[in-house]
Amino acid sequence: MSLRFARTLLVASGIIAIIFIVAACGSGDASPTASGGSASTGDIVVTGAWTRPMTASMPGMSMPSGSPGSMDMGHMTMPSGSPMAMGMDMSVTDAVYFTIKNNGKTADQLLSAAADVAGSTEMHQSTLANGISSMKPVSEVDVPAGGSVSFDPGNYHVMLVGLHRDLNVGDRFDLTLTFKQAGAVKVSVEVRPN
Amino acid sequence: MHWQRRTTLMIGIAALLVVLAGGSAWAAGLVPFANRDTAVHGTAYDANTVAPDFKLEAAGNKPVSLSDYHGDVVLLYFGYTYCPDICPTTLATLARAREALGSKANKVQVIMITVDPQRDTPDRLNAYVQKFDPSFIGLSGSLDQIKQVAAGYGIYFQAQKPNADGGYAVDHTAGVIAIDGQGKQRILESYGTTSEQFTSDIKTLLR
Ligand SMILES: [Cu+2]
Repeated sequence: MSLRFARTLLVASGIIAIIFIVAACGSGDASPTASGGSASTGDIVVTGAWTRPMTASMPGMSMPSGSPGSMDMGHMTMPSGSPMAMGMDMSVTDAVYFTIKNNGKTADQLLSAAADVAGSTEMHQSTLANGISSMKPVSEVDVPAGGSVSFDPGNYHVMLVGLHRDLNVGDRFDLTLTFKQAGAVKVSVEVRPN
Repeated sequence: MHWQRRTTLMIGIAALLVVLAGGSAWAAGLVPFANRDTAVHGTAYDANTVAPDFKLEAAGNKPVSLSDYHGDVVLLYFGYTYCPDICPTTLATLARAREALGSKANKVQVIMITVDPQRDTPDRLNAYVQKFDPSFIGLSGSLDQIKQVAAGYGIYFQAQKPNADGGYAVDHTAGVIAIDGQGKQRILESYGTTSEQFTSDIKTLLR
């Protein structure tokens, strides 16, 4: 009787363990949030696309009072006639994050990103050295065969420059990622705080 | 029959071990081991380091000094509104940390000082920081003023060369400086500090 009970217990724990393993594997493959955008073309699968909420219009720049016709920015000087110096640059930036998985047997490369919500779209990488953060444009990002690349805060991101509309929590917009092999992959981006 | 029973038993034992290992790892993840006492997560400054006071401009060109917040824990961050990645990540983390403090949150003031005063007017900064938490304030000033304040806190910043569209990024020290209610510069929180770690360190400073 007690042996039978022990066996039942062990079998039950086995079932629980299998559920546990399946759940763990599932969450490993899936996007960080189930609700995040997901898209695939051939061997390339893009999951968990998100960006933070941001207002499209912010008060523009104005010349600091008492400033002469040009501003010295250390290594560069902006003429007072340029659009930025005239207070017309109201552009707002945001960053899009996602995970790219390459299920194929050949390496691929992300070449560009485009979104209607922004004036321009750039691929960037943030780096941190000695506590100092820096951000540089990147022309392409390798996605190895059978591997994946994460676009995460503090690393790779697609930067939206000059938002055309407000991005509010729960909104979605399309982002088109163009790969060397897979071509264009359209991704639905979710707007959420974190 | 015997063979079958042993196999079942072995699978059962293996499964039990997996459950136990997974369960304890999960529990460990929820309960951090380190820094449970008064130790802080960030880097502590030397005792009695006085946070340098400053006078800059908030929304509506209203003058704001650090000393206005005497009695509060001030979280000082140097960043800029055109920064899409590091700065919003940090501000979102600070907003979550503040949220987790409940009623104690009104003793915490987040201040972002721009490292890009050419583009960040006080009003633009204000609109930006309030996207994260309506209590946050953003301060700007002349480039010379900002340089002086940054230097006082050991903060480096340098604008990069502009691209073809005139846009540019600004390299800058990414940490958050925590100042206690007595105006002492207490902790440097590096980029990547979690909201839970911020909450814990803020509680330590509020004690
Ligand atoms: Cu960027």
